[in-house]
Formats: sequence, C-alpha cells, structure tokens
Amino acid sequence: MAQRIPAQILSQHSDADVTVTSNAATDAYADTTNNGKANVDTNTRLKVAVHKFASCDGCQLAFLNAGADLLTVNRLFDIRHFAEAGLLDNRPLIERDIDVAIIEGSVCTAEDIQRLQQIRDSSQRLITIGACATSGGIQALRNMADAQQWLAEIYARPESLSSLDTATPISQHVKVDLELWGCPVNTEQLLHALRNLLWHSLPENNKDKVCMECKRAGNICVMVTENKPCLGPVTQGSCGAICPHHGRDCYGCYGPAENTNTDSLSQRFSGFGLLPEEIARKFLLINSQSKPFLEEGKKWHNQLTSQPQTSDKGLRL
Amino acid sequence: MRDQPHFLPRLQLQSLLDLLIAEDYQCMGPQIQSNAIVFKPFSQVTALTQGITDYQDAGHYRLQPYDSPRNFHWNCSAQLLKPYFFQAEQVLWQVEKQQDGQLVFCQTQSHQPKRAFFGVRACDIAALKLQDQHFLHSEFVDDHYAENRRNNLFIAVTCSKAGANCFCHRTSDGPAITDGYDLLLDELNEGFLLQTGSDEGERLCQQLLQTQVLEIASSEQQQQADQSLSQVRQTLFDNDDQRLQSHQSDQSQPPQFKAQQQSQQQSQQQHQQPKHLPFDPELIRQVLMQNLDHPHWQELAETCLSCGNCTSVCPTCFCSSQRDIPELDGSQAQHVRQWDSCFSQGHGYIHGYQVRGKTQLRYQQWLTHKLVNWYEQYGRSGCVGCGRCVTWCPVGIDFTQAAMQICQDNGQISGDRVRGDRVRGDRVSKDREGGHNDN
Amino acid sequence: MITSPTSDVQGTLTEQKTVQVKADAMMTKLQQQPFNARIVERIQESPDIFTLRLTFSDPELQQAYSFAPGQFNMLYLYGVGEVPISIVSDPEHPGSFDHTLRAVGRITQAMAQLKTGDYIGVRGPFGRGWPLENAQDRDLVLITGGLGCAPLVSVIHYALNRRQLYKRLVIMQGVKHSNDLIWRQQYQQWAEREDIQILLAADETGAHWPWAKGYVTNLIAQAQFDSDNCIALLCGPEVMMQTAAKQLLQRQVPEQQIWLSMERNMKCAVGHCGHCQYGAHFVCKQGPVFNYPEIKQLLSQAGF
Repeated sequence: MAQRIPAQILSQHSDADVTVTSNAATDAYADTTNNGKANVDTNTRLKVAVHKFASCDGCQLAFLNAGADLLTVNRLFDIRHFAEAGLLDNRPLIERDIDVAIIEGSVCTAEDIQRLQQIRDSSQRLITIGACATSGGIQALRNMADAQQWLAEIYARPESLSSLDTATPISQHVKVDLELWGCPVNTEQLLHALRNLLWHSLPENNKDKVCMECKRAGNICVMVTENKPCLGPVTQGSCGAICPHHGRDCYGCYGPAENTNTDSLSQRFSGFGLLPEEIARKFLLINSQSKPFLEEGKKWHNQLTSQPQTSDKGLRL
Repeated sequence: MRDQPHFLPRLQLQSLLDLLIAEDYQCMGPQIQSNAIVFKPFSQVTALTQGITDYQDAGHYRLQPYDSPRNFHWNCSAQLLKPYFFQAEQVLWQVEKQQDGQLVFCQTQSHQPKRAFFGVRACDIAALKLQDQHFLHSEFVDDHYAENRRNNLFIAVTCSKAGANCFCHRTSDGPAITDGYDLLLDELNEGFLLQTGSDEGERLCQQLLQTQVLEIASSEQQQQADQSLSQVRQTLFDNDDQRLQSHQSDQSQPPQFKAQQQSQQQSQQQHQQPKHLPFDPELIRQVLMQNLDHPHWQELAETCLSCGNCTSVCPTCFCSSQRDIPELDGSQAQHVRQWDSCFSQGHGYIHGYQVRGKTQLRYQQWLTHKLVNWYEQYGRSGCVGCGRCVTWCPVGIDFTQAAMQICQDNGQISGDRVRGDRVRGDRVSKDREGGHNDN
Repeated sequence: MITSPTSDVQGTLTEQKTVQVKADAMMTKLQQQPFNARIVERIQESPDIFTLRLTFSDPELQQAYSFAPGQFNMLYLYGVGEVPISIVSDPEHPGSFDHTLRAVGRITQAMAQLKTGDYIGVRGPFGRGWPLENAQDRDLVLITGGLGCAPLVSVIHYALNRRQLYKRLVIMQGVKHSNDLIWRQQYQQWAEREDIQILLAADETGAHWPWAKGYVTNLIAQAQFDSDNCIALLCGPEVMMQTAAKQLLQRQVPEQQIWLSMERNMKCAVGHCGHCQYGAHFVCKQGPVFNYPEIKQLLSQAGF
C-alpha cells in the first residue's frame, strides 16, 4: 500500500523530491541517512492510525510539526489513517488491523462511543494524546452545566444537534494503554513514546511536578517572587515548564501530577487574594475532569454558590 | 582582625575583573533576572547588582531598592554553585547501535571554561564542601562533577546583612567565611577589604599589587568590616527573638498549632538564654527517628505540596535520576542524569511497590536525611543554614520549624527557639515588605 | 645474561601485577559505563521469568570481569534504560555470567523480548555480596520468599559446587503460587541428598504440589541446623525477612549470623543518585547484603 506524505509537508524539506511510496523506498532513504549505522526496525514497522474525536486538532498538529522527523516516522511506522495529514483508510474500522491507535479528542456524541469501540477492537495498543482525549478537555466544562440549556441559549435550532450532555475522556469508555497529557501534547513527547513502542516498551510514566522541570531549567519561581497563582506544584511536567520560563503562572494544561496537594495550594492562592471563583477557575479549565482538579475546583465553586461573596483582599492579581 | 589588610577601591573592581578575564576566566556574578538575583557571566562591573537588596521570608522573595553603591548587599541567591558543578541535566554516556546489533558506548566529556565566581557566601562554600564529599571523596568519583570542579576561582563576599531565613549561625557555617575561598571580599561603601585564601588567590593578589590596584587597608576600614560582621551575627540572633514573638502573637493559627504554641510560651519563660537548633547528632537521631509517628508529620504533609522545590534549591541535595533519550531513528541514544528529589514519584519506587507513597513519608525522608542520616554518611548535618528551602517553598514551610516542632514536643530541647510559623498559606498575605527591618 | 631464579620469579610477579592493575582498571571502567555484552543463551524459566546468559564481547574484559555471589550488575536495554539485577551464576564459571529476571517493570518487560544473539549493555559488578567466607564450616540456612530467590540462587550454586566447605545446607523458599516455583526438578534432586534439606511453601497451591501450603516462615521450626554454628542468608519481601529473622533469633541464632539482601530503587549503583538510601545506608554500595544488626531498626519502618 502506498505511503503518501502530503505534498505540503514534504515541501518543507530538502528531500521534497523523494516521493516515499514503498518499503523499499523508505529503506533506501534510511540507508542514505544512517551512514551505515543500524538500519533498525524497518522490518517491524508498526501500523499506526490517528483518529480524531471532539478536539481542536492541536495535538495532531504537534505530530505534523515534527519537521524532518516526520519522514523518519513514516519510515519506521506504517501510517494507515491520519485524516489531518490527508491519509484516509477507507476500509471499515472493524476490518483494520492496527498496532497503535492514536486518539485525539473527547467523546461527545453517541456515534463517538460506537466508533471508539471499533477502534479499540481493531487496535493492539491505544494511546490518547492531549487533554481532550485524556481528561475531557475544555469542552468538558459543560459536564457541570445544564447542557440542554446551553444548547438552547447558543444555537438557533438546537433540535438539529445530537450531542451527549457530557464530554468524556477516552478511558471512560475503553481501555487505554498510554495517556500522553498536555494541551497540546508536544512533539518530543509523542515521538519519544512512538520510539519506545518500537522497542516493545512504553515511555517512562513520569508524573513529577512541573516544579522539578522548572527548577532544572533554572527558572525563578513566579509564586515566590510575584505571588502568581501557579499550578506548577500540582501539575505534571513534560511541557518544559514553558509558562514559568516566560514569567507566567502554570495553568495546569498537562494535567494533575502524582500525589497532588491541591488543597494546600489553593489555600495559598486564597492567601494571595484570589477569590473562590478565581481559584475554582484555575482548576476547572483544561483538565477539569481529572479527579484532583475536579474535586478541588468543585470545592471552591460550591463555596462560591453557597456563600455570599466578600472581597476584602488588597492583593488582586 | 584581618590577616592581610589589602583594600580594593570600588572603582578598581573592574581591574580585578579585567585581570581575571585576561587570564581566561569566565567571570560569573550576581545579576537580576526574573525578579531575583542569579549568577550569570559578565565582563563589566556595571552588569552586577547594585543599589539593590533582597528580602526573603518563608515562601517569599522580593528585591528592594537599597540606597548604596554596594554590589553584594543581599543574602543567598536563588541558586549558586550547585547547577554549575552538579548540573541539572548531564549526559553521562552515549551509545550507538551498530548494523550487527552491537552497542558502542562512549562516556561524554564535559569541558568547562575556567570560571571565577563573584559573591560566593559562607553557606555556599559550606555546601560545596558537602557536594565535594559526596561526588569526589566517597568510594566512587563522579567524573562529570570532577571535570566541572576543575579550574574554578571563588571570590567570596562576607554577608553584610542577615536575611530572615538565614540560620548559618546555627549550623556553624557562617556568617564569617573562614576557608574554601581564593579571594575574600568584605564590602564597604567605598570598596572592598581583600584577603587571599589560596595560592591562586595569592598570585592574583600579587598581580594587583604590582599594578597598584590594591591599597593598604586602614585600621578604620578593618574595624568597619569587623563591626559589620558582628552586626550580622547579632541580627541572626535577634531575628530568632523577633520570630518567636511574632509566632506568639499570631492568633490566626489553626487549632493544631495552639497547644504547641502554649508550650513554647511556657518554655520561653523558663529559658531566656538563646539556644541553638537541635543540631546535635545524637539528640536529633533520638528524637526524629523515634518520633516518626508524631502527629506533626501529618500536619506537615497536609501543607507540603511534595513539589521538590526545596530539594532543588538546596545546595547540598544530591539526588538524581537517569533516563534514556533515544534518537527517533533508533541509531543512537543518550543516557542522561537529571536532578531528582525524595519528593518525587520515582525516588522510592521499586517494581510495583512505592516505598514512599505518601507525602508524610517523603517529608520524613528529606528531614531525617538532612538532619540525621547525613551525620552517618558524611560526619555532619546536610544543612548549611542558607534558608533557600524556606524561601523557595511555594507554601512557605519552614524546615527548621518542622524539626523543632517534633523535637520540642518531646521535651528534648525545651526552650529552643522556634522559628516563625509561616506554614499555612492563608496567613502570608500580610504585607511583609513594609515590615522588613534592614540594617 | 643469566637470569637468576629469583629475578625470574620477580619477573612473573611483575607480570602478574601488571595484569592485575590492568584488570583493576578495566573493572573501574566497567562501573562507570556499560559495555557491550552478548546474550549467549536465553532460558525461559516460567511464563514471566527468564535467564540471560551473557558474555562481554571484548574477551579481555570478560577475562578481567569478576564478582562475588550477591553482587549485581546494571543491565542496559538499548534506548530504554538500566535496571539493577543480581548475578545468579557461579563466580568461577568461565566465559559467561547469568541473570534471572522477571518481566515486571517497564525495562524488564521490554527485556523479555530479547533473544539469543542480541546485545545489551552491562555495568558492574556492584555492592557487597554474601559473607561466604564467614560461612565456611557452618550450616548454611537460606531463606527466600517470592521473587527474592535470584540473589540466593548464586549462593546455592556456589555452595553446591564447594559442598565440602559447608556443613548442612537448608534451602527454604516460599512462593505466592506454586506455579511461580522455578527449578522444580532441581529442588527435587537436591531434596534427595542427605546433606541438603529442602523446605518449600506456596500460599496458593495447584494440583500435585508436594510441598507445604502457607508461608515459608512457618517452616523454620522444621529446619534442621545447628544454631550455634550456622549462618542464615535471607532474601525476599521485607516482612518475610523480618519474620524469619525473629524466628531465627528465637532459635538462638546469634543476630550477627543473620544476613539480609535489601532492595531499593537504584539509578547509578555507585552511591551518588541517592535513590537507594536506606536510612544512612546506600544499598548499592554498602548493601545489598546487610548484617541484621545494621538494619534491624529500620526493617519494616514505613518510608525507609
């Protein structure tokens, strides 16, 4: 089966004139680039399918933004389906024999549930990429609202829509072998995972706090120097601590770290002068359906709805 | 009284810098970045911090204007020597897979320029000695650390103020700098008293003398420097008193601290003389290790974020993890070491079993390692009193207070000073900047 | 020139010394970075336990390589990472050394895919092994639990190959499920010898399990050894080792004669990374084998 990399991607590279069409061609490419070093894994190309559910496509773009590495990915993997890149496998899902299914987006319709189940049934391993697929994403904010009312308020003809009242992560419906967090995931994270899969291994399950990465990068803590309400101490890294690096507070887009103490952190935010509403919003944003963030967010949200608001804090951020 | 009464006029600091640059030293000095003092390369003294001081408290760091020509009127920087020697990330070796599957390993070499560090403090030097013990003088020598440690020049500066989180007087590591430096500066408004502490320092000093950069320090200048040091020492002790008072007057404490507070007040009445932190190895061993079920550990765990900021900024912490970073095409891989923490998930993990799953156990590991087990490993405590872990804790947990609380409740060190309670975040919002009393 | 016999001896000594110095230098290098080693044989011991027989590709290195029973190597799977695994073969076995692994973690699961003829990296040996010289002319009591058997298998091999050095040999092993027991035939053969006592137990037993049901520590009362002249080597889950140690103490075994192999997370294996700290001990260099009095206060202390 022909492997076609969309012309617009190939044109970014000097190898643009190489049309990668078969295993033989990819091997030839490998030989010329590897200088006689191990021409590894060409025999064990894993069949990959990238699927999209409710999402912004940002995580798929993290894949497509791999630059020259995308050619290597194509050499090592047999990419069967990747709509964002223009590759469509038109056979019914159930007939596909896929080694690794990569899923972006959350489940928002009844059709999604059905399609997801078929993908799971036809795949050896299933990886979710990004906040939507892993914890519901921003659209899961509707889970805490009256979805029907929102539809009625926003759309002129809500009856033409058929969507579920909730947006839910993939793991709520099928078994997930690996979750890559982030909004969006970053390219290195994704490629590292793919590389590991070729070695029959999963990447390290590292859910250390952003703070660890932040300090390794030599950043100065924005919480300590500026009282900024940074979610770094409860959020998992892999992002490279880019927000604190640029002087802003982490907003938790990589999801909760292991062993989080959201209670202590939000009390600290309160000490900085944040209102309950503001604290609730910190947690109920991109990864609102992850357990620690959901519970902490709800706690402050409920406080907001059950108590009259008072603002006597001088330190508003 | 100082041994070698040289005086480096402020205007001649550049001459010292020029000399070092001419000798191929890369000069590293305190500069402002992201609202804090950090160490970066520089070649002009104008790049150095000046007219600025720092204010540090638990979970709190601010720079403030300071009306003076001084460059070094601040306490410990966010980080100093550790990242240069025990690097946050270090490639240990590289490996290549050959056509036939054989692996070719190659140990990476790091080549560092000669570096001169301006503004190293007593606590930094003490911490460096501990890192040297661990990486250079234990059974195995760490080649990467050894390479980074070669050809460094330390231009120490005696602290001219004491920060609210400083307690080097209690670990016997400061505020006076007694050894471990090449050149030692005592900063006065008009310049610096300069002493040498090594052959290299002496050689540089001779060069400065030859070019008539140095003057003879007057007895008045020496007196000024001595006075400054004793004032710093006094402030360190005064801070303890002040902290105790603010601790007692702080009424917004959660109930669990009340009982302890009362016992502190009683003991304070009984013992008016300042005492020291319980840094007696045997006492600490007895108290901390025998009270691992003390309820205060749980209170600490309720506040602690287990984020690893304390261990990252600690100049003596040495834990690291390792991982592989393979090339996507599988032709090569790098084996990388990076800073890790006893507060991280991987630190206590053995296949399928977590030795330290809960924050309480991780905090116990950190505290008992620093204050108990370090003695057995390296003959002294692993704490040098810099207070970085207190300043850079996002929720302002005071390491010393944590230890004291547990020891004091056991009646082992009744009357010892308790550092101000800044544990709970909701009591930090009071304006500290205004209340700061800087000398 | 006529060389006197003395100078000839000296010459040989110098030569030996040079060889030794070279070997020492190689061993030091071997601890700093991995070296390429070939999988000579891969033996599937049970569905998830396998043994890798290894030899360094560089014959000089293989020649210089030596270890003591109870020591471990860091095994490196290309691109994936390193993992500490104890050496199970006899130190005097020429030309190769064995590691028995269970596919349980990220790296060992990936290692389970390795085949004969593949290459991995090996760094080591590290740590303090079993005190086998102290054990001479004593009864050897070996108690293992669960997967802890690997570090003691080396001792079993060692003792059987030098049977005359030791008195009675008591081998006790507990497994969770009877299917987990590997080397069943070997145990059967050993059990037939008069100078070896084999006591095996499984928490859960399948059909045709000829041994006891329950914990291995329940069998200590049946063990026949001379409390005044024995050495007990323990390996396995900490709770099991602690229970075993208590029972041995009840049987008047002096605490100095009880040795335990500890396990902690290890990254560097040279006492630098801090992960394996057990109280003040660095398990990688002061252990993994500890004398009971050294660690009795820490045993089963949560968090250490």
